[in-house]
Amino acid sequence: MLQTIEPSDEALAGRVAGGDVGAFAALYDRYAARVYAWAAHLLGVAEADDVVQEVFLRLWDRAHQFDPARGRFVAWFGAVARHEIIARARRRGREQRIVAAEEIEELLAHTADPAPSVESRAWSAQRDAALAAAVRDLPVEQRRVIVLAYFGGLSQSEIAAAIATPLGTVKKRTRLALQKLRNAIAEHGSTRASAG
Amino acid sequence: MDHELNEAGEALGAALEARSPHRPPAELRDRVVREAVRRGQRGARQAWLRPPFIVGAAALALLVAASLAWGLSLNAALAQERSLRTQLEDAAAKDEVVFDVVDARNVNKTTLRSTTDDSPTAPYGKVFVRPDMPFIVAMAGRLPEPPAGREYHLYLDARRIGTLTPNDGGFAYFVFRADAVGITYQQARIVLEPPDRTDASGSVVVASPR
Repeated sequence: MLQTIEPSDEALAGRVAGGDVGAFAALYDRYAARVYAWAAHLLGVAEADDVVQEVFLRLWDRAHQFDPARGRFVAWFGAVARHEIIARARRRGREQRIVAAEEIEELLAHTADPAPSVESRAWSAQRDAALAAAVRDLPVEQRRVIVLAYFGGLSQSEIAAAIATPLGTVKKRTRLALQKLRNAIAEHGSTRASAG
Repeated sequence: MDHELNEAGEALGAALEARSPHRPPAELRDRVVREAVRRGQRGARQAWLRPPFIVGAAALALLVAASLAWGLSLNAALAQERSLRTQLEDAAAKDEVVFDVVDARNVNKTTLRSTTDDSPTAPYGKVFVRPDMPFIVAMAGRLPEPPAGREYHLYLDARRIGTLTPNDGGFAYFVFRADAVGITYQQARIVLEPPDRTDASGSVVVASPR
């Protein structure tokens, strides 16, 4: 049986910079659900479509700015998405961001892993599942600060105030959580391949 | 801190996607891609004004002049191979396995040519197999944009092994990994047909000699 090796995100981004619509659509297929879920939880379903369109058109317009020598595409694109989503959320006030981020944390902590599907046989899906498990397995206090920071866009001072915890403790929890997630990402590699 | 958060964002994003009930509506994909195409045409016009383009244009002019002088003695087969190789470097810069195969001394290379058109603008392709690796690299150039509801499928003998999606320049490539080394075949073909076809019953665009 033959197995297809998908082009890497970085190769696709290079093709997008050259105007390759097929590569753009491929990156949409890989990351649209992620952007949409984040926007839907933080801003509401009604705005999520608009966010996805804006984020991907930003990718289309700025793909030439991505430099693989400076980091992986997923981190660069995640920053593009985060900038757009958090900027919109900030217009709605801090309280709403905290509430939405807490709901995301609840979801990550208590929702069961999705049932295995045919699609999950793909290597990249297995990798995503492993990364999701790494987030779920974080100690609750570490997961809480990292979710408030990443998904809610709160500063460490804002997080300290929101959860009534000393700033130094928030910093320590954040550092530990980041270290564990970095280790998980490194452990599970970054090459994309799928059964074909 | 933002940089570190973004580095960890892959895991966080994967976790939320896995557990969230929210999924983008199917029609959103078409809308976003259509808008990108519309913007792309606008961007192409604006590109004429960018300084890097001017430098690139000057370099291109020099390249064209040099190519004209050199090209008089260059045979068509070599020219085709260089073109494919150049486009491959652009498209597959991060896919190291592609170049492990294509650049290997022991690579087996098959050329695919149009079955109906022998003009210099006809589509063409190449398939590369290394006898000591389980990979196949296929690439094609000058492929017209497929009509709606049609795709370019690569067949090795009777087996469809993938889809070629040409970029705006008509170039496409992909890589396969088999379960074992020593892949052999009698004929490679690129066939234009509906996406769900697996029997090579569409139009043969290019093919290798049997």
